[in-house]
Amino acid sequence: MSGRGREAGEGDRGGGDLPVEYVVGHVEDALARDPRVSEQGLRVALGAGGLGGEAAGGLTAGEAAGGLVVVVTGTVATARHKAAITEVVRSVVPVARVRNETTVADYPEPSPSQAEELG
Amino acid sequence: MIRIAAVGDVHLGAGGAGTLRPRLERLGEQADLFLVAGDLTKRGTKEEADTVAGELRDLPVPTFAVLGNHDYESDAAEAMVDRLTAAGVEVLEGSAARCCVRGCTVGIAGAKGFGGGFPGRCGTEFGEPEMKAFIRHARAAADRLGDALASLSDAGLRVALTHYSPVEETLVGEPCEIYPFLGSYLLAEAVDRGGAALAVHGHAHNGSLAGVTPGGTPVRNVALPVIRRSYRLFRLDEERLAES
Repeated sequence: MSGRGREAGEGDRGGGDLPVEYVVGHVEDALARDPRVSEQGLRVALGAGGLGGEAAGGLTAGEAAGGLVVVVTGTVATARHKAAITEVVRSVVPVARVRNETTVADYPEPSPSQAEELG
Repeated sequence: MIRIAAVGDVHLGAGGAGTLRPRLERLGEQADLFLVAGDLTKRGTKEEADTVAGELRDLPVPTFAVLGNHDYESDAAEAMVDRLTAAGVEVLEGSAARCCVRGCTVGIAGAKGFGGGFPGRCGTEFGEPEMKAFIRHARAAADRLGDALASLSDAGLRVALTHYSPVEETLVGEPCEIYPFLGSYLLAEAVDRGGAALAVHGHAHNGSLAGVTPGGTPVRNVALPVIRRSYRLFRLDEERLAES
C-alpha cells in the first residue's frame, strides 16, 4: 500500500501487493482513521462491473489492476467528506477504480405531526 | 404531556459551523427539552468542540448531552465538556439532571455506555487483560447509568440517555457481527432497574428506530442517519407520567 502509511491504518507494502481479500478491511480502517473522513458507518465492498468479489479471489490488487473496483456506500455529512472518501480509498489501493456511491445527508427539521406518541 | 426532542451522531467536523443551528429553529415551539445522544463531533478535537458548542449555544429549551466514541478520539473530552457547558449544554456521564416541565420534574440520566454485546453473544471478563478491561469498561458504564437513574427517584419521569445501545432491536440493519461493538445488555438492565420511561441512544447509523427493553421500556435509536430529520420528537402522555 502507499499514501498515508500507518497513520491511516495501512501496512508497509505497496498497494499492488495487497491481496484483494484484505482490501475491504484496510479501506474500512482508513476511512475510520483518516481525519478527512472519520467515518465508521460506511460500507465497503469489491464491486461488480469489474473484477471484484469472488472473481478477484487469490489475486493481489496489482494483478487485478484495471479491473479492481472498490464500492463505498453510506451517508456522509458534506460534499467535501464525500470527495475525501475517494481520495482515501485511492491512497490505500491506488490501482483500484473507486465507485463512491455515498450520499450527502440532508436532514430537515421535523414537523409537529411527525412527533411520536409514547405511553 | 412532555415533549422531548432528540438526536445523536451529528458528527460536526471542522467545517460544520452553520450546518446544524438553522435546523433547530423550531425546537422551542416543538419541544420541552432536547437530548443529544453522543458523537457530536467527528474526531473530538477542541476546534470541533468549539464548532458544536457554537451550534448548540443558548438553545431555547434545556439541552442535555452525552459524549460518544468519536468525541473521545483526540483525548480532549474534558475540553469538550467545558465548551459545551459554557454554551448551556449539560453534559452527563454517570450523572443526572432535572428540569421542570409544566409542574412535572423530568429526570435525565446520562452515560456514554459501551459495547460488550447481548446475551448469548457477548464478551465476558475473562482472559487477557485487554479483554477484561473492555468488559469492565462496559460494566462500569452501565453501573454509572444505573446509579444516575437511582438518584432520580424524586422525578415524575425518568429518561435514560446513552450513546451505545441497550438492546439489539435498534441495531437491526447493522451487521450482526459488530453488535458487541454497538451496545450492551447491561445498559438495558440499568434502564429497567431504574424505572426509565424512555431510553434514547445513537451510535448505530445503519440500525433501526425502535426497540424495547426486556422490562418494557421503549428504546429509540436517534442516530441522525436513522431518523433522517435534524431531531426526532416524542410525546410522553399523562398516563405514562402517572405510571412513572
